[in-house]
Amino acid sequence: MSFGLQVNNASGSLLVSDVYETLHFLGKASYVSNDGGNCARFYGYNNEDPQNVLSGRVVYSFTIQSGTPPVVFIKPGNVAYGYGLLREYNSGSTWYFDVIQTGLVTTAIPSLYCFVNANVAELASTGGSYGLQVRGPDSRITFDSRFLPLALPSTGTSTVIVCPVDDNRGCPSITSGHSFRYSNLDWDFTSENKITTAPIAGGIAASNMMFSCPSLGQSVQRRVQNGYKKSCGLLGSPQHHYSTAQWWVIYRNVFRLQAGTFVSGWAPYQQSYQYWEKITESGGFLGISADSGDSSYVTGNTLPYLPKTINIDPNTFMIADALRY
Amino acid sequence: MSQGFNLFSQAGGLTYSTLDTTWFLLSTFLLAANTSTTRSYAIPNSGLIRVQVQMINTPPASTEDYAPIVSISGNSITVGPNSTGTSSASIITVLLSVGAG
Repeated sequence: MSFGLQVNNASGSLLVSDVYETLHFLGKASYVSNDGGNCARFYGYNNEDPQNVLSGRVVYSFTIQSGTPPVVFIKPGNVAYGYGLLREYNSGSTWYFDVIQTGLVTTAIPSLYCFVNANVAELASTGGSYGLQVRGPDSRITFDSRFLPLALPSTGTSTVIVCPVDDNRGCPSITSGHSFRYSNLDWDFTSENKITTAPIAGGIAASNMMFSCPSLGQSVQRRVQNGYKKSCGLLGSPQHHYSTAQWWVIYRNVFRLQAGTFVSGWAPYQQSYQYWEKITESGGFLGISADSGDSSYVTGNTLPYLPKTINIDPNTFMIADALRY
Repeated sequence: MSQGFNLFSQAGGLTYSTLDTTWFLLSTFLLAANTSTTRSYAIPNSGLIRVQVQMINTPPASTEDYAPIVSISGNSITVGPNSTGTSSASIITVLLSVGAG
């Protein structure tokens, strides 16, 4: 460089620059509300089958003012739970965030630490009166120590296990040959144990860490049981009775912090139970055939899409020490 | 410390030092659903670009919610729909690390 400021760290990496903009602490997003929790069991399925248990989830909402989209770090409300940033959206300079958490506890509210470049207007009121400020050739601020520059003790890459369910048979299946109106949930849809891990450097206590890693991975899984019986209809023609029971869950990728380990797993986001049956009759009097069509006896939400797991490319994560901010 | 620098807040707390590591913000932008973009950045030889994708919309209840696919080649990135031709509206954050960190 011929002029300007460049600071390298003890390992030779660029730390302060008059060319590249450092991220600075804008503030914590304000907690707004939670949705009360969901996915404790299958909606519409009231049987007390032992498998009628899901891992549960809560979605929290937050907001902050910012002229640009903030980079968000989540500090877990309880490191026993997984968290993931589901969405980030804005109306003008008001930004909103939805964070999913595993489990049904609504008091493990995470903290959202937001970072932006130093030129965002909302930062101007947060600084003190002295420190080190660096400007680029266009006079934009690239670094300002008053606004708590972001340090990243650890970064890495996170992956997910494609099948999110804990059942040791793997992903749930479709089976036929059951008796008519058979509906007996026999698959474990909990999602506690399908995790991958990546190392975290820096020696920060899990309770002080925060991470940035959006929740992108999603997976739909379903169990289907097809039932059948044959009976004698009016005028001696055979009647065919068909039933279908379906349980489905859509999961989202969540992350948990342990000492020295970044854990990637799943949380149920939505779920439902559905049931249909129909009767067909053929070859009776005068060869007349009839089809009752599908009839639903249990109100359930529609399967979002056929089972698959998507958005499973490796995901970059960043770790920071929340005590600094 | 024997060398390097420490920065302190007005309250006296250490805020930044030469023992730290960081990534820089190259850009952040909104990418509409089912669209693509290619952008290039002036970065040093030892620079490495990373991209973070954040979904904007409520997870839909009736369709796959595909994140845009990111490909990085040297100093440029391409972000766009996957092989099915669809992608959800997203915030794209382009970050840079320079050197060993």
